[in-house]
Amino acid sequence: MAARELVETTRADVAPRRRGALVRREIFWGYFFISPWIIGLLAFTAGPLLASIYFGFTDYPILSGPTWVGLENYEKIFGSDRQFGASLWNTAYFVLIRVPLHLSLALALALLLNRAVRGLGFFRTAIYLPSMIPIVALAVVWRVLLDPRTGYVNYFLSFAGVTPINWLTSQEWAKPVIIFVSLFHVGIAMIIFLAGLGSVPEHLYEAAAIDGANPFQRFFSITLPMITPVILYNLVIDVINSFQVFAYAFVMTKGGPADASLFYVLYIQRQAFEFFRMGYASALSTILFLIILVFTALLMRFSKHWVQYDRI
Amino acid sequence: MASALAGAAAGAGFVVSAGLAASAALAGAWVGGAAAALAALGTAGHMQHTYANGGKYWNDELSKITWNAPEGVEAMEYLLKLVKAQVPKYEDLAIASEAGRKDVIQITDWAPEKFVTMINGSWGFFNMKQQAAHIDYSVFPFPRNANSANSKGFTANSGGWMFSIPKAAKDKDAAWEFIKFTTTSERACWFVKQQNRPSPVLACNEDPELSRGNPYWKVVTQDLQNNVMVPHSPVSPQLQDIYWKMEEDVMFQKATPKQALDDAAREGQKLLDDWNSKRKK
Repeated sequence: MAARELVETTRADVAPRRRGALVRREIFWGYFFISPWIIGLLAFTAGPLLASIYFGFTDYPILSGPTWVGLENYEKIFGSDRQFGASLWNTAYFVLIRVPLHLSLALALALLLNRAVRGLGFFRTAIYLPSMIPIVALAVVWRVLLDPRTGYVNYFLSFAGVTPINWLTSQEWAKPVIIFVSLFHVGIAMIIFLAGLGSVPEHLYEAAAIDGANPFQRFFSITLPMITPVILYNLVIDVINSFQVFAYAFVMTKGGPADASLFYVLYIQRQAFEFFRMGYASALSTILFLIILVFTALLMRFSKHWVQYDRI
Repeated sequence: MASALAGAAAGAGFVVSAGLAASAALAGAWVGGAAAALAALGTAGHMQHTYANGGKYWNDELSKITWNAPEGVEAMEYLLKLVKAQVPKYEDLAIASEAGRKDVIQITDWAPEKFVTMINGSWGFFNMKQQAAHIDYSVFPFPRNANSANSKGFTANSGGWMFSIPKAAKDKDAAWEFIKFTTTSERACWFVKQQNRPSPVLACNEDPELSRGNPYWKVVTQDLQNNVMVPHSPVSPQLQDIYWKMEEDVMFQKATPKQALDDAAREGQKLLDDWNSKRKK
């Protein structure tokens, strides 16, 4: 009895110390294994981010060093820059139209591909495949297809009596066309939705079927609530990516016609690498960073009203 | 900063025509081989027509924007009339890759229509041969305004290759000698000849071997003599952005020629003033 008490007392004394050492060792190895990522984050994300914020307060024409100018860049941006407003509006248009379209399409495709049908692997591959195409290649191909005189799009539309449309050179069409082309990368969001759909317990559908729920009721009462965390993830990623739209316009329209497709990041690129105004471009970048930060924070803040983590 | 023209983008402003869907009324106003041309719009259209009309985009001291002077306004009004006479919408002239910016009509886009366009360098002949060998074309000097005594049909050279010697360079004299060697020496003549390009040294262009049987080589050399160098500054790319936008605003009929030119001049002037004030410091 005495021996047993001794053992238990010793255990009680030693266990916290050993546990503490174990935890510290685990923490060390944890940080050790994620250190490449941490170094990458500091060197390639946090470092440039801080540098960019600093350069935003300077006049930095690259060939000579940065000169501190305080808020001058921001005064110009908000005071007299005609293209700042235009690029912001174009980007907002892209985000507002593209994000709901993209997510709806991705979810619809995921729902279709979540069914047990013959050739499912083929369909999944076929729909995902365009997402593997680099944006530049996709944009170049579509630029050729949309050529008003020689492109296949107008050629096929001509059979329906449609007169040739200047898809990329008309102010009305340039943005919608870019949004359309960007939807070809729907596969990535679709795959994530597909994974989310796969995690919805089958027994919920069985119970609903027994209760006589029709497919729409099953979708809105079971599927949609169950995948809200996945929807939130895709939404946040999509909003961030859409605010940073660049390559489509860079390749297809160069921001034209008459700035109709001058997106914000394209404008930053123009300031930085065509006008060599690194300070000004950095200030624009900081503003975009803040806009994205606010939108992301708002999405996360309001997510608690509609995202249901506890159900999965 | 000293600079010298190294590789002439000569011929910035001569016109190639492949047939012509011309407007007779307009043809009366400007004379030259391609008077009623759907001349190059976008980047250089208004600039070239302004210089051809006896105007300038800014003064030689780079202190004052002058593209909104009467010569510039006249040139823009002419271009707008030209576009309206040729196509229902400006966007019909634009090409997809640049969408109203840069070279509006590309040789590859000529297809079955009759077009007149401006090519910006002697490489245009090579492009024609490579991409549009089937097109029967002619080349003419840039048109001039027959109604204006000031209009000499000069063309603006706003591109090309520049060698620059920075103020802080250690050995400026040696750099200057090198620039002279690469631009005006006998070897420089040989160098541009190998590339089938015209030289800034007019005598080099007389070499019959340089034309290589090109019947339009004389237009190139003639254009070089009528070529006006446009002075540049570090804010030139921003000015370019302003005057491209100005031209698009007119062509897409967002503003009248006078309005667009004045607005753009104000913006450009601010930029020049800002740059000049920093330069003086």
